[in-house]
Amino acid sequence: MTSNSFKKNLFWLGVQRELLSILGSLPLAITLFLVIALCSTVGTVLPQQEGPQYYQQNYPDQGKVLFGFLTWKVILALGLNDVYRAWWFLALLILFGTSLATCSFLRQIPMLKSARKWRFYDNPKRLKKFALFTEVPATLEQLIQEFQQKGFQIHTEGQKIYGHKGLLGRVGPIIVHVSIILILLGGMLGALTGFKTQSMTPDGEQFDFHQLTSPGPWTVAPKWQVKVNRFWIDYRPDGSIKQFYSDLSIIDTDGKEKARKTISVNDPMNYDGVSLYQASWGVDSILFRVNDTPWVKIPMRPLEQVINGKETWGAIIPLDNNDQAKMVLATNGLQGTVQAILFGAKQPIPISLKPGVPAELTPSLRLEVKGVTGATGIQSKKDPGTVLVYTGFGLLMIGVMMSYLSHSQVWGFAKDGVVYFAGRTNRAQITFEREFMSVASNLQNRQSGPSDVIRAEPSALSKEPRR
Amino acid sequence: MNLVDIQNVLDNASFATLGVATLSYWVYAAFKKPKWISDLASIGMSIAALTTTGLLVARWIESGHPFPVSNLYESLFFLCWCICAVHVGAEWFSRERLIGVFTAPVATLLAAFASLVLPANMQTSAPLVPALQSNWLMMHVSVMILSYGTLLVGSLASIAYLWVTRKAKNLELRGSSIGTGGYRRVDKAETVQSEPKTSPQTSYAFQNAEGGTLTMETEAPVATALQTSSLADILDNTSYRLIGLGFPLLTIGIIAGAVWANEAWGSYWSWDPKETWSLITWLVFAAYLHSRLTIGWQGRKPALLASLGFVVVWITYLGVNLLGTGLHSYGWFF
Repeated sequence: MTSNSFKKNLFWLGVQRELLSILGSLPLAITLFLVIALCSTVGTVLPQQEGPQYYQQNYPDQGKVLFGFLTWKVILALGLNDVYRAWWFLALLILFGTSLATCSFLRQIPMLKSARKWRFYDNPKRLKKFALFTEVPATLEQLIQEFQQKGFQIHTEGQKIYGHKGLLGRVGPIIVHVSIILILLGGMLGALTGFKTQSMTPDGEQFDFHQLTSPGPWTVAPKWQVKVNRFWIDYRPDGSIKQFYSDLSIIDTDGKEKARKTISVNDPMNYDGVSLYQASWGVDSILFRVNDTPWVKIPMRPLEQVINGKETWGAIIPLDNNDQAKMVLATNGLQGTVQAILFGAKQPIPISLKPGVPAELTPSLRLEVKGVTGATGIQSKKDPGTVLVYTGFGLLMIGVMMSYLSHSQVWGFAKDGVVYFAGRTNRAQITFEREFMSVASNLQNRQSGPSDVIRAEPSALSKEPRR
Repeated sequence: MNLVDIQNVLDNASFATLGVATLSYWVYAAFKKPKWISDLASIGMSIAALTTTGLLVARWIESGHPFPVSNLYESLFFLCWCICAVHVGAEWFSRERLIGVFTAPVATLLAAFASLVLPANMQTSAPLVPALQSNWLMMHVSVMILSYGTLLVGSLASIAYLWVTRKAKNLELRGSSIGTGGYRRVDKAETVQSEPKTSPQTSYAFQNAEGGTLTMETEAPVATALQTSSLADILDNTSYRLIGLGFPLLTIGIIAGAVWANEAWGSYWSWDPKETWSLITWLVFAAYLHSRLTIGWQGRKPALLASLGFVVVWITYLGVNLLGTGLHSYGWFF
């Protein structure tokens, strides 16, 4: 290697090291937390994933411009209409993940290594540097006993001791970082290879996966189909909805049934890595006839307006050519009556139609509804990243609980009948301070007999009320 | 008396007790005496914790739900209970009454909002909508509100800290997690000044100078003075420990919600406003916890982040529902 290329290497090594130390630094981490938080708020204030027309109408670039800059052009250019899938938001998350990983290798693991080392001191000057330091006439054995009673693991070297507890509190944050990286990776895997789709299927019909709304670049769609054998709703006596049920069958390409299950909200079906959830519902059609005509299937559509405080579906049947006479059919759900309203006379005529019970308007005009057919909204999802995400969840919960522990360390040595000792902790300063005081006062009491015990109780440290 | 009457009595009793506790804390903070009024304040908070417990238990028996948190009224009182309980714990831990000046009014406002502002038809218990009929409801909602309660008291301790140190300069706290705080302060002059309370000295009673220096006077070889925590230190560390406790709870609550959503709707994360704001809360408190590790960031900066967290928790808990959209819009009147 020539000296020139060596220098060049050294230069790049320096740059690399500098970059890594910035990437793993705390100020960057804190900035990322707050920036991601701030960007996330955007999506909760600005309506997301609407069509371009929506933004053109509501955020015009002429006249009254929101905040003076928020026009539809800005929104669409920055991807604010879909913040959480915008390239810059994903870039932030990737930077976040990289920073986490770097911090683990550059800071956490070295810190854990150094925390695991046993150090011994026998110089009071060294110990005096600690905020908690004292000296008490006692023996080393007594000091060891006292600390052991407080749960410290004590190591000795001659007349010197080193004690520690709560080392798991230093392992916890590393697990937290690893688990968050797993969750981010799992999310990425899911976005690349999974899919999620909604279908509204009438009772008795089938749906398949030929048209997925937003598949990932490596998504493989299932070949099989799903048949809705039956969809129904359980109502409470007061008419409110208790539960939705869909009886589903998986039908393979040969038309054979491979699996069958009745799903409900909170109880999905799993087949071939795909989960099928009861997500929503609607009214598909009603079977209707006038007098003795054959049953006619009338498709129902969701109405904009809410009737009786509930969602409503309806259909309009024109009765003449100039839109004067018409009949409106409306229903709130699969249960109860269908409302028919006849327009064309002076007053609209409302008629309640109970399924199976013909309503006679005049002796020669009879309306009848046979039944209401529902449609079930099934959400289908395949997410191969779930395993990683769930592993991450599990580890995250463990790691974050471990991180509550405070890592405490104590050092001490004995000299001429006096023990000198000092200590520190990384989280629970107050608790540790009290422990330390209690060790000091217990040692004092051992020397001077029990008569002074009460006065030297550590609770006397701070007399309420302080302020 | 039936269960509904009991609930009404306990509901009003909680509000009244909390009101008395708040006033007592404020009177004591203003005049620093009499001692009994500070005791009254503390006892008031404990009683309020008990009356809200009774209220929730009565509601639990009456509704027959797996857990009595299914609408806004119940959730407000559960949060009120959490704040009272965490406050009692924090007071016991810190041996400080100052936190109550800030926690008691928050608990009072919660009780007042639930029992006076909410319309009567929203106070009664109602059957659960299909989406909420799951065992995950108890796990997710109870842990979330428990975390809100802990985080709120924790950030209130930080606000108390900001109040105490409002005139102070050159703060150096020992509460940092990297260990710089584990070392001795050079300057012993403390930031929070008030006249040292000198208790009569006998052989080696601990003298609790307000400045935070604790001396052990002994007849034996003179012991080195132990530096202990000042009021500011105590508030700072209490806040840190509470947020350190609330953060895992928040994490577990969010994860429980994510797993539930995945089992019920097929998506563990859908950027629903409530989800997003719980993530924002998580990020802000994560920033707080990391700021405490940062050299040169001890003291007021983390406390300011915690105060930001206080606001964010309220947005997550109540504010998001004002938007009225998303998966979490049932069971609320907005």
